[in-house]
Amino acid sequence: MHGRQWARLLIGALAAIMGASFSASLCLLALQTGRELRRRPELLAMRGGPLSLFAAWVSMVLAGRIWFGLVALAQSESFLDPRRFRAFPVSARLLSAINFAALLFDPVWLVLYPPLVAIALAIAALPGAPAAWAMLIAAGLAVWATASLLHFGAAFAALFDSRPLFRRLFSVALLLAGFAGFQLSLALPGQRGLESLFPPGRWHALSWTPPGWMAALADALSHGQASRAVASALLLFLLGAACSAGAHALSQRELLRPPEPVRVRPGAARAAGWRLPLAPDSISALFEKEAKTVVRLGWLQLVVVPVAYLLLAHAVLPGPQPLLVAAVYAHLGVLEIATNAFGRDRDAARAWFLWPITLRSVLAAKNAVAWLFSLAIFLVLAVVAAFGTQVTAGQVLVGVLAHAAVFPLLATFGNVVSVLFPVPVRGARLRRIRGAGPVGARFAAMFLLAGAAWAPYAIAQALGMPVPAAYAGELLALLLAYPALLGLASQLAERRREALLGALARDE
Amino acid sequence: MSSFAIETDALTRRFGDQVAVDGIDLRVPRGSFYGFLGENGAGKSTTISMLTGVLAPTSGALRVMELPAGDALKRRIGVVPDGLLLFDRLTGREHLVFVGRLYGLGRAESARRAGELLETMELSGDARKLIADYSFGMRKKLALAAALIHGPELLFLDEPFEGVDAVAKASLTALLSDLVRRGRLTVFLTSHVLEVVERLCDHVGVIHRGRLVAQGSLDGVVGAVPGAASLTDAFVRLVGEGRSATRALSFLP
Repeated sequence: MHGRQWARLLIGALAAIMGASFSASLCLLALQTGRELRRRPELLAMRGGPLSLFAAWVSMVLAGRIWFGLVALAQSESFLDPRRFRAFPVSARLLSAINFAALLFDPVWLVLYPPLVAIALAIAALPGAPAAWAMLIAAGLAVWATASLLHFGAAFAALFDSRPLFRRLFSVALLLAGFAGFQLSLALPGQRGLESLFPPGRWHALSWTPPGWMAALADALSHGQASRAVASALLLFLLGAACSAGAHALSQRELLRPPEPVRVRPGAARAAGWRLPLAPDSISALFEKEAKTVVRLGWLQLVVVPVAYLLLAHAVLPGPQPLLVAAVYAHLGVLEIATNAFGRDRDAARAWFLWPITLRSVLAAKNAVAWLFSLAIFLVLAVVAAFGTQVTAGQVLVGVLAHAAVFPLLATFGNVVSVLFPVPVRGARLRRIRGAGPVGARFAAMFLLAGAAWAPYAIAQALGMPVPAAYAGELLALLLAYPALLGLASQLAERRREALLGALARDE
Repeated sequence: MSSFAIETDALTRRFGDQVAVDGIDLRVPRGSFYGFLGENGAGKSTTISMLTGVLAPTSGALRVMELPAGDALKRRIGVVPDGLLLFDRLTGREHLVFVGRLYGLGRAESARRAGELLETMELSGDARKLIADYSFGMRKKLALAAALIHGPELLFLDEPFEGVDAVAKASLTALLSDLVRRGRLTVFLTSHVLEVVERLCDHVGVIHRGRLVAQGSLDGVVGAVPGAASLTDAFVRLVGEGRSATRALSFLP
């Protein structure tokens, strides 16, 4: 076997192991918490009983799937691009159905299926809980509805490629929805995250929502109440069917629609470009190009990330270091930008080897843009934290230091991933990711990010030293290491230029 | 100073077991309009990639403008590859200014040249549009403008006229011919449109399955092929190998 094939096999195996570990740890967490709740029924009662726990946990997994899709820009192209099949006598509905089925085998879903089973098993062991099989059926229908929703989301995202005004309006609507969500979350002081939505007092209202239908279905199936079970199942099925039909209609309509051209403001078009203080002109130009590319391609996602945080602010902020969580979250928001630095360049990536610039400057500019967007997200989160909870000056300091300290490592690891696993981006969407490598590498980046963010905290706790000092030390070490790490990443890009261009450029 | 802008000796590139370019000896005179011809997959783009430093040769030697690969050479060449060097999310004007600044022209000079190039390429009206919204022909013209912004001495064009309408093609060929005639530029061009090559180029090279099968002045190459009255005739005889143009399909009436 060729050396490169061995390397691919190894990376694929590592990615599979990482995905399996993540999945297994979620399973263990569910089973362990289930055992704990069985021992302490008063805790179970506080959390609304087994049904509300089932609805909350499954909803969290499904919300995680949706969230991961937004953060990772995973509204990827259809498995089978319907436009390519227009000339052939293949049913458009069949293509939509195949695209939907392919979504269910997406690597992120494969990681989340075992925890859904574990949740059903863990809750089934609690007193008064529905049977495991009933919960599995209900969770299966919820997966169908969520996957349909994602399918609709992917078709909806395709509209943004061709309708810039629509994209902007939708982003504003999301921002307003996020603000409303934040206000709503402020109205539930002292509650913990999504679970706070499922106490017994609110159960009646929630029975009108999809998580409520899922819980009601499990309960009805378990107790042999056929009519109630059919009603709940029908609601979930119809939700999924409506989303699928909507996705199909949107994708078909989009095929016939020419894209609307985007025109930038006359002032911006006439300007001679940005000038960054103290930076050479070529670096300023690179920075401007990167920033404009990211904003014009992924503005929606950049808006969505803080919005998602706003919605969940009260779920994650409590704890000893709320702004440390915010720092990690902000970097997660730019994970896709950091780990796919060349994906947006596509054919033009060849320019980095043809024009008189160093790969080091290219990567430095790309990293600077990712850092700036991460900083913007962090600042939004810090403001939310300041208004939503009590944060001390020490916590702010730790957050700021951690945000700055972790980034050099994420950026340079992201550079390496960008070189090894480039994924071309078309419009606002990734081309369909093939193989386990890209997904595994992005999981690895997430683990590295979490490790680098929490290690100084753990060290400070173990050694009894001030937490800010530990983060200041990490910041200093990584700032000193950054030039060398950047140099290594650019050398790797130089060495692997043929493979990189082969993945991105059509004629290589 | 060598009279050749490009010289290669036994230039070879392999991809695994496949030999894409097989020991070619190119001689491209300075100030010439050189047409590099070949069928699809003959090795034209691979050769351009090696000459411009994107691909490393497996073996052989190459000299481009008598300079080693590096920034000094990059500043003296311009490249329009088949997959264009265009950043979709910039406007046409932003892209040109960006490229100029990377070549060290400065903001003001880059903006001035960008305006002039947009005017010449008849793209001024679309300067504020994102490149993603450009037609294929407009993209080709913009890519050529970007390759010219720093005033290169040697221009590599890989299929520059593919997808370009007749009017745009005429204006592009006039522009390039004028630059070459004034002795400002050497152009190394690949194209399937042999009529255009015959009209534009004074020198040609023909590559077939990775090997250079003919090279020299246009008249010399055509004259060396028995019975060839034009470049198209010569090309078909050189690479066609007596393949039949018509072959019946059993399932069609």
